[in-house]
Amino acid sequence: MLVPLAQVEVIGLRARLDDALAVLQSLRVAEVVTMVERAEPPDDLADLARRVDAVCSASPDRPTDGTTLDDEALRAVLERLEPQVAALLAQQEGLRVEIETLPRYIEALEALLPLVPELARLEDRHLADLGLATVALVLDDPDGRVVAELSSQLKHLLGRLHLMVTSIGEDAGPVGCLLVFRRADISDVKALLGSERIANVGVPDAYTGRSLHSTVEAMRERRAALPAEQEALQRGLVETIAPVLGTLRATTAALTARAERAEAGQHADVSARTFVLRLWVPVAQTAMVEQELRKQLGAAVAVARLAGGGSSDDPPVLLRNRPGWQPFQRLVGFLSWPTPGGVDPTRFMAVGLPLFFGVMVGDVVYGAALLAISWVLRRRWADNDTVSELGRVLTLGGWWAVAFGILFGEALGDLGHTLGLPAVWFYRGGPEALEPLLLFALAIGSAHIVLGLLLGLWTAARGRRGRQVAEKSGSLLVLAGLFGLTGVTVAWLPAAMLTPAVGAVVVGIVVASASQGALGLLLGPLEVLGMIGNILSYLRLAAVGLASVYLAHVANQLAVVGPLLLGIVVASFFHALNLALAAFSPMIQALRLHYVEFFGEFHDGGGRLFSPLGRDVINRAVEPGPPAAQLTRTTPEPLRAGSAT
Amino acid sequence: MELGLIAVGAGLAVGLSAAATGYAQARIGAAAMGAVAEKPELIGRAILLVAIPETLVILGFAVAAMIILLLGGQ
Repeated sequence: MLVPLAQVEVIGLRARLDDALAVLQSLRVAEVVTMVERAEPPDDLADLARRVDAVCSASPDRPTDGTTLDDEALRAVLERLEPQVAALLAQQEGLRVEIETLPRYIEALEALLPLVPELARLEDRHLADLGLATVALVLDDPDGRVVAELSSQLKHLLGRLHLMVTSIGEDAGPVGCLLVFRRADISDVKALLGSERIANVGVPDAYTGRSLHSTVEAMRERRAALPAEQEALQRGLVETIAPVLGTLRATTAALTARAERAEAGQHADVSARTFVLRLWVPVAQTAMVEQELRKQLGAAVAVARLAGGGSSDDPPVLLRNRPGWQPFQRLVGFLSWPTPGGVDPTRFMAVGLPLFFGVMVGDVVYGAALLAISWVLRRRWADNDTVSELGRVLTLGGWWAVAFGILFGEALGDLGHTLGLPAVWFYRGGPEALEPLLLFALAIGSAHIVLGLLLGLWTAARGRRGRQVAEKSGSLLVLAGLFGLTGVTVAWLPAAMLTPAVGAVVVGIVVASASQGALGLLLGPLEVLGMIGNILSYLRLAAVGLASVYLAHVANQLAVVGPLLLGIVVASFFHALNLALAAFSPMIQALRLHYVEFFGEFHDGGGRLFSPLGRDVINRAVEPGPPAAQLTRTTPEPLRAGSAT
Repeated sequence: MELGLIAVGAGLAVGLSAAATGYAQARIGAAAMGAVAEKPELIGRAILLVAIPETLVILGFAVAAMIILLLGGQ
């Protein structure tokens, strides 16, 4: 539901503005309204907090120790730590790159060793005595073009006075290459290797001057030593930061709180001696806010609730729903938040979405499997909100799938039906099931659209929007008339109802058209047609369900075609595929029915979520208070705004 | 009417509308994903826009069901 908000104005001595903001920050139920757009930027508190965060993030987490530093001491600590941490991080990055690349060098060069065993043992000084030089290369040559190009260029440059040995790279991996040539040609060869067309990654300088054999040996030794070096570096990093980490974390929290207050203070109207703050506060908590401000600041402030709830160009919305509905609230926000004065569709979605999901899946075994999957998701990723909420939606959908599985007599498609599972209502796989299934889908669609129209009518009436009231009333009249006509056609209603039904359709179309103004003649009937199209769109409940039934049917048929064991494997594969589709496709379809068809009747969207002061410092374990060094650790105030985030 | 022709008619109703839906979704999906890459918060609207042409195939399904129900029983 949408929580009603009211505007409260706080007037006080300018010197106490930060104190007033600190009180509001601790309450976490007030959003500051922008009264004045200030040109000057806020101070560098946020930047300082970011610098501290950057240093802290280089070390494993550690709780705050409650001690905070003043700005001067903090800057001194940062100036000492930042270069050290940056140097250690750079070394860490270098090691990481080495750990990634060294195996590629080793692999490429190792492949050369058996090809040139004698040459591989010659070091630079031996080669110098012979008037020769060698270059070992690792080439990135996924398609073989670089080796061909290098060979051709060397022939052109050195004629036959060179030797080129290459290994064959596996899976487009690197290619090892050893070049032997006259020492006099060394500069020409280096120039050639520097050209853009020969993409080589060279061999690190640390290994130059060695024989190929000893290079590979040295690289192997280096690779073995890297993990210990990396560990030592990480230890060094932790030891550098650890002595001040707890203090830095506490200081970051305090800085964040100060930065938030500084930014909020920018929105206040300030004169030489006084300030005026305007706040959005949940109506139920205005008295508490007034009381708390007076209690903490006494006569330094005056608090007044603005008559009529106040006004603002961009009022926020605050949604409050029971904890079990949080996933659906998030799904509403996925599209857009409702506007003030609108309807929070969370509760309708919490009922409709799992129900539609269950109608489409409608299988006892699939439903049970989805319940098991959702249980694992919620248990294993309990600390991951998104996965946990997905698990909660799947749980509800799974229960409905089991319920409709019992109604349809389905377990693994037609297997349950074949084994004698009775259908409480009707079996979806039979030839006679199409008609009741389509009617059921249309009935759900009609009920859902009528509910949407009623909500739209209520919202429009509450907002005193006459045109929308007429439009929704006209649509409802048309629907009532169409239901009446259908009832008469199938003889559920007496023939005498025909005239009133036709009358309702005609009057409804006229009212809906009139509500559209000058273009009503065109838009009115189109609107009605669109609404009928929306109801027909619920046929997807039947279509997706039937697709699932027949895929399961195919899986069961394949199981008995060949040998038993193979049949079980094939059937398991198809049922697993069907289950994966059942978890995904019906969810998307149910979501779409809500977003497009249902919300379209009443949900304006475009709302902005209530963002109370203190939200960003929740769980930072800091009590906002006077600036700088006086900040200390306390338990956060339990008052919660209950915002939708 | 011959059962085979009824089946072909129903198949065409679903198949052609599915092809049209696929074509529309391909175009909309590509544009929507481009928008999401720029602004991830638009994912909800992107799903909505991609899902809109699905009504075509549902209407195709409705027509196919009508063909089977009305003509298949004769």
